[in-house]
Amino acid sequence: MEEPQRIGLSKEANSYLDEMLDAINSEVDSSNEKLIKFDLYRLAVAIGVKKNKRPPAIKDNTESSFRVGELDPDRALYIAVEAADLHEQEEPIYRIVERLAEQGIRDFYKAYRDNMGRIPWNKILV
Amino acid sequence: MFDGELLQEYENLLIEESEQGKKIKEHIESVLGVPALVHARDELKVLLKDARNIQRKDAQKSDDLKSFAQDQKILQVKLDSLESDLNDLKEQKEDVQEKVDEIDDYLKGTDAVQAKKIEIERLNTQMENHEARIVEHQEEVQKLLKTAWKDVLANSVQYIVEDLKNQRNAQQKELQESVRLHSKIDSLRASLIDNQVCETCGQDIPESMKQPLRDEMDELEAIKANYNVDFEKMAELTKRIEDLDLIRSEGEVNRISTHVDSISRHKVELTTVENELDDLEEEIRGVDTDEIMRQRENKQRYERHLARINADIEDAENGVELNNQKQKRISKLIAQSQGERGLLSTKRVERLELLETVFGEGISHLRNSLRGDVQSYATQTFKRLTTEKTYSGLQINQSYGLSILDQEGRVLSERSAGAEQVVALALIDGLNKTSGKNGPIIMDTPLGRLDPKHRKNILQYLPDMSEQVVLLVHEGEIDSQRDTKTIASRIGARYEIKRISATQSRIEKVV
Repeated sequence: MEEPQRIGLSKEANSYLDEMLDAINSEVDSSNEKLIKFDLYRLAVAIGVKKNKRPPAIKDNTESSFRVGELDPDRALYIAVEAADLHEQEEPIYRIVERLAEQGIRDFYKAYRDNMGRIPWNKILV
Repeated sequence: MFDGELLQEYENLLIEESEQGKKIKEHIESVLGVPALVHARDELKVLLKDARNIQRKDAQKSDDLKSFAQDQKILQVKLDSLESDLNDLKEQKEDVQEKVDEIDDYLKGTDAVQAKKIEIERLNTQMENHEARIVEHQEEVQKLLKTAWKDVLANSVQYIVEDLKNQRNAQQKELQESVRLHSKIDSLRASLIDNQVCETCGQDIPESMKQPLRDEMDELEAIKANYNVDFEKMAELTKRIEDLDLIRSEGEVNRISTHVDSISRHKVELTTVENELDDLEEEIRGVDTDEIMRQRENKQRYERHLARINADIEDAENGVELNNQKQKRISKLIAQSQGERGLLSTKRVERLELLETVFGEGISHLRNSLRGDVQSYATQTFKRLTTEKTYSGLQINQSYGLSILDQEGRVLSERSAGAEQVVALALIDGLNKTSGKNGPIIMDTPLGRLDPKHRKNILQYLPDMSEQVVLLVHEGEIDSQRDTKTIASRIGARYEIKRISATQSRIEKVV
């Protein structure tokens, strides 16, 4: 089982992520508080782990834009996904991380659209 | 001549320090003749000043009194300067007061608009505060969102860690039990092999007693064989637990939830404020509120200026008073000297000082006496006009403001607009009678604020107020048949203003 060096999102999910980040960051002035892609990506994976449901395969090709070493420097995502036992035998853990992120970003986007351009964090996180 | 609808402004007299109250008091005293004595005292002051000058010149001629004369001269120069400053300050005060009055006229009737404008400013500040709080909370949320994933992960793996720990504990228990059995078997074996003789009595242990030990050892061996301690699995469990324990959080999710709740609360309050603002903006649409607020600020600025001028006037007046006392003392010292005693200039100073004192005290006496008379006449009138017979009378203050006294002689703190008008009419009648000048009285809308009983009382009393009373009443204020029945014989003539067009009307005598 060889782990990938890079993982990402489908083109569509990537565009959703960009749109959501623009909307979220427009509400704060301080550049320190602006969110970056990694932040929502990791959160999407964490929510997936919380749901504890094996994510579906990604239909389209993914744009492998994130280096795993930067996205998960202390391997917390890897360890959590592995412990949650969401992967098949011999299946790379980071491929599951990628699927969880794809699913999570799509869920965020749906909530964002349903909630008139705002992500209802209280519903998603609690 | 007065406007009945403006009688409520008479309340200003009750505020003894108000500028308007002071003005009304000045006018009242003018009608009552107080200025005659005040002017006389001022004239005496001028004469006294001249007399002191002559006295000083006489003293200059004496070697003994030269230094007094010099002091007196310096004091006089100072006094001239102080009086000049005082006059300038009083002129300044009049100018500034005039500006305040002009603004007051402009602002009259805009109280409601001003209050709304102030409320709008307050709501705008509130709105800015809510918006600022929302941004602060949003920034906090975003800051927390950066690491919230760890909190979500930590909570999610918490159950997994628990499960892994349970597995490891079970393994550890098996290991402990296995070790315990092993140790016990070893001990039994040692007893059988090493201890052939009893340690207590030294005799050989018979075979019959060794067999149970052997049986027990066999049994324990059998139990031990069931324990399957997997050290590799234990090490793996420990490693996984340690890895998962590294996923630590700082309660981001709960903190985000608190901030999101605060944002919602501020948004609801913001909407409420915005709605209130819309309503208020709508109510003052078309009114030049900026100009009103500018004038209001101007007024406040002028009032601060007035307060400074008043303080300066008080200082200057104290300076004048002090200077007068010093001059008086020096005059006395000069008068007491051997050479000066009996001189005409000294006698003149002494008499003028005496006269000034007499007039000064006379003014106070006159004022007190006039106020007493006004209070007494006004009380008589008030008792005839008021419908509340338990009132014991009226009490006058330094600026001719009248308070109603209840049956226990206590001042009533609150009174109705009707009572206000009755008190004001009583004051006018009291002033009229005290002044001794019995001229005609002309009243515009005299009964507007009154209930039927008060109206009846006043109409009955009017003929006694003056030889000639002219009432200007609007339609509805008075029923000419019913209300004037009791005084019909005292009415000289009635006139009506007949409308002809929007720009023309005619006065007609009513038969």
